[in-house]
Amino acid sequence: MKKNTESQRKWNRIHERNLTNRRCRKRKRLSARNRFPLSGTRVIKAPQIISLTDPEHRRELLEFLEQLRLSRYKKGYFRLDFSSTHRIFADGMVLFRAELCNIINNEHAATYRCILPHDTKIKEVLHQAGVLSLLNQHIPITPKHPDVVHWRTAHGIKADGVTSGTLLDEYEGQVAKELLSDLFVGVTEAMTNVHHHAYIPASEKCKTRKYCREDAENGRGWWMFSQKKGGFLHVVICDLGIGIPGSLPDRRPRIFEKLLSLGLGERDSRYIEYAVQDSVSRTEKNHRGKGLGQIVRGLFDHSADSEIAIFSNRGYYRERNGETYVHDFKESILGTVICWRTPLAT
Amino acid sequence: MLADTIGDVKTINIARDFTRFPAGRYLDDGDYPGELFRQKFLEPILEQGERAIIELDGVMGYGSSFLEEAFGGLVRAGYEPEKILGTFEFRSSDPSLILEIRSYVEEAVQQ
Repeated sequence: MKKNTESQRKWNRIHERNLTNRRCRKRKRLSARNRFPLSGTRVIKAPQIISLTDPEHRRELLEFLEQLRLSRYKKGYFRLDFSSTHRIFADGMVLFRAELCNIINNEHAATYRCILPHDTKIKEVLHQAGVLSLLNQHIPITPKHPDVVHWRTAHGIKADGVTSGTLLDEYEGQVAKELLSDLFVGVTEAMTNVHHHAYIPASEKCKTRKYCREDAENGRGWWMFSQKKGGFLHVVICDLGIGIPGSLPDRRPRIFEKLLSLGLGERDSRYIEYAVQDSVSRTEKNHRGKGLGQIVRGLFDHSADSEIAIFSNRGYYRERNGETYVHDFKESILGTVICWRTPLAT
Repeated sequence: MLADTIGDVKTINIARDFTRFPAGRYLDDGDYPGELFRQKFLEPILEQGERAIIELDGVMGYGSSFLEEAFGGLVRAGYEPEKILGTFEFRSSDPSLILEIRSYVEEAVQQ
């Protein structure tokens, strides 16, 4: 038998090494496919614009969230498709993250991944908001967009002054001290309200009970974002509870009766408006409460340019420049989102 | 716990001795609620018949839930409003805070 030359031996070694590498890569591909098979994966399409304010965008977002909720107890693989998403607003984002977190961190049968957005900025937002991490997409992303770099998130169950105060402390020097204090008070009072009033069964007397979250008593927690954008500091907080309309009839029966007498019992926005105006509490005892009024009004003591908006179930309430605006949407967000906006110091 | 004593008067600086970030009403609400502050700082002063200066500055903010439970809660715990307001002297760069605390003590009486 003819012996191999040196060059032939060298060629054999290279060939063998390449073969080994190819086999190794194939094994990895098969292994990854088995962990998350592409076939049989169902896709849930995320909206192009994640927002709660515009009726059309809100409807699309809530349909997306409904599909997400329905998928929870189905065995199988789901991909959340962000490929068309090109704008994200804090109010919609905090609600989406809350719903996703509520599923991922609690009992669920489905396995979730995502299809990344084409838009780099949206990718950064999803990363900064912790969504990619929740979906097990551990991609090294360093946010570069000025709007995104300053996104901050927090999540908790109780009235957590340390977490919210530490988050707001980052804006010291950029926001007037009094406004930061007002924000801290508003946020912590909102957390206290969530802990006391949000996760209980909706009142039997509520006329819009069908728009309240059904299993609210099994839920817990609040989710919070902060963001610097357009010369303002935006802070939003969300809960997945029964909403202000769900608790008002028991918290403040006289106010509820007044709403009914005025024919406003079907309007979630009016529940919010009356709750703000009367600073309700869950019981009739006068020593509790002042929370919602303080949540809304505190900021305006030090800045006329501030704005607050409350989404609760179908209702929307906004206060800006001394004027209030209320509106009722067709769909319920099944919870409450409170948004503060205050000017950055120049 | 109570850092300063000048004569018979203790000084309680909430930011230094309790927290910069008070929040919530009841013990179950969080780590630094009004009920905890009342039990840990205010009630012992009243029980011992001492006096104290409460320094309010340095805290990020005071929610109504915290203040009402801390001070209005003293009335519900059985202390007379006159004794409460006579025992504690409040110091703050924001006079409205002091008025708010006094109102909680007086409103708690009316229930």
